Amino acid sequence: MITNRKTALFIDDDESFLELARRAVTHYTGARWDVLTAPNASGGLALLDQQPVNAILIDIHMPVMDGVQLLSVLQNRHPLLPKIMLTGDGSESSRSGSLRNGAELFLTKPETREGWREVIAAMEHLADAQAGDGFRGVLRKVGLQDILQLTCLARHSVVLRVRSQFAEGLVYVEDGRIIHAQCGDLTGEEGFNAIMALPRGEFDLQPFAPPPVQSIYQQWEFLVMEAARKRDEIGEAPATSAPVSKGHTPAHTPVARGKEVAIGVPNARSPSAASAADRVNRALQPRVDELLVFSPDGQVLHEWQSGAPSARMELIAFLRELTPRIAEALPVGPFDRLEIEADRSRVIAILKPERALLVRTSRIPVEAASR
Amino acid sequence: MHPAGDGFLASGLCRPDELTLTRVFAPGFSNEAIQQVMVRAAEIFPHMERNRFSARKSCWTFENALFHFSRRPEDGICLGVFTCRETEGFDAALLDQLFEEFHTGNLRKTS
Repeated sequence: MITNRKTALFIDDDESFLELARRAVTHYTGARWDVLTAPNASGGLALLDQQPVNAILIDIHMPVMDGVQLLSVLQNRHPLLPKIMLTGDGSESSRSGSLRNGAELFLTKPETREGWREVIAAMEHLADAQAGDGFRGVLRKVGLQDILQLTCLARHSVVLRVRSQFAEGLVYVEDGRIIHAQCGDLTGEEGFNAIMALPRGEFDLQPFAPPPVQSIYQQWEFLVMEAARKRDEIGEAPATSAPVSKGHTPAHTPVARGKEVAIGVPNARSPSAASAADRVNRALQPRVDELLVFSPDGQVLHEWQSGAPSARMELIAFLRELTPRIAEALPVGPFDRLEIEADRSRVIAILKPERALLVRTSRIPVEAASR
Repeated sequence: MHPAGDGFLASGLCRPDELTLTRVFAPGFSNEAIQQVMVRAAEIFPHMERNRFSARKSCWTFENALFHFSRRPEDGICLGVFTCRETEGFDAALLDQLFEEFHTGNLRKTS
């Protein structure tokens, strides 16, 4: 029999509440959820090291390490784990502190049947959203080009799936290099340009999986610039209601220059051909730790896991003020980005006239990333 | 300082008291401009400290050039090197060696 059991972890110093949670969740979910409990943060972290859970529910007021502090630790160790704060204290400071430290939801501790059903519905929703094992979204004011830039600059390995009413496409990025793209029947640069020309849609970032072939060998900067140039050439009118295919190539789609080569043949990149440094890098999984998007006047449009947005804003403002002066004084052209390399992390600040992005990444061992 | 290799456009060393040594290798880059850029660029470090970005090296990407910039923690001296963006013919190892020697102190003896 196929079972789809899920596990919730409740962390609370109130033993009677933990017992109530165990009974209520088991009862109201028809035993579809297993319930683990821990009376404190250290006990909860120990349980998480032993087995995966689908949702974690934390009491905000606990001795030694309170719920907000625990959230901060969890954001480092288990960034993808859905986290729900439970409290009898619904103050704004508790709420903002919890959400700032990575909680998805901030709920009042349930005391009634309806309350428990709401909590369980939230658990189900977050667990289902997590099941995709990646993240998805629709970013307004942030284009596909920005997402690819961030991914490549951070040297990530992901599969970017793009969907619109016209077509669906996949872009494979390995260690920050775009190695394959497919859009309908089109592959390689042809497919990539077709994806980049989609007028609107949504995307998913999926964990990296090797593509069926490697069809792209150009540097990502060139690909993105070429795609943008071609899209500019045809303006904002690529909307064709027909599916993208070789027999119905959009007028703006260029002729492919890349060739398809199966992964593993001599001129394709393979683990055996990788350098020692590559192998070391492959053992370390890049991870995005922080992301901010700024408006032209320096206001934060989007913030994800930033502990110091005001300091970041000042840095962006400094760059906005200084870099045009450098470009005036020297024949270097307009400023594009700042990359800061530290031992274990990397910060990239990208400045465009219409917005600025700041992303902080680190490399963690693959084993830790897969936990 | 090291002689320039292919793709090196200009370089400078800037002390905390803003005394600056510069060398230019490409047309359009003046010693005065490099000096001003070095002094102003060094103002980024207080921002980096406030952001807790402990950077060994930073790279500023412009449309036509890269600006590699670093500060030595022991004495606050900054090294900045402008290079071209094209990788062909550019000796990246020489650049790495330059910054390595800067941080180990060897550059101080030869400059």
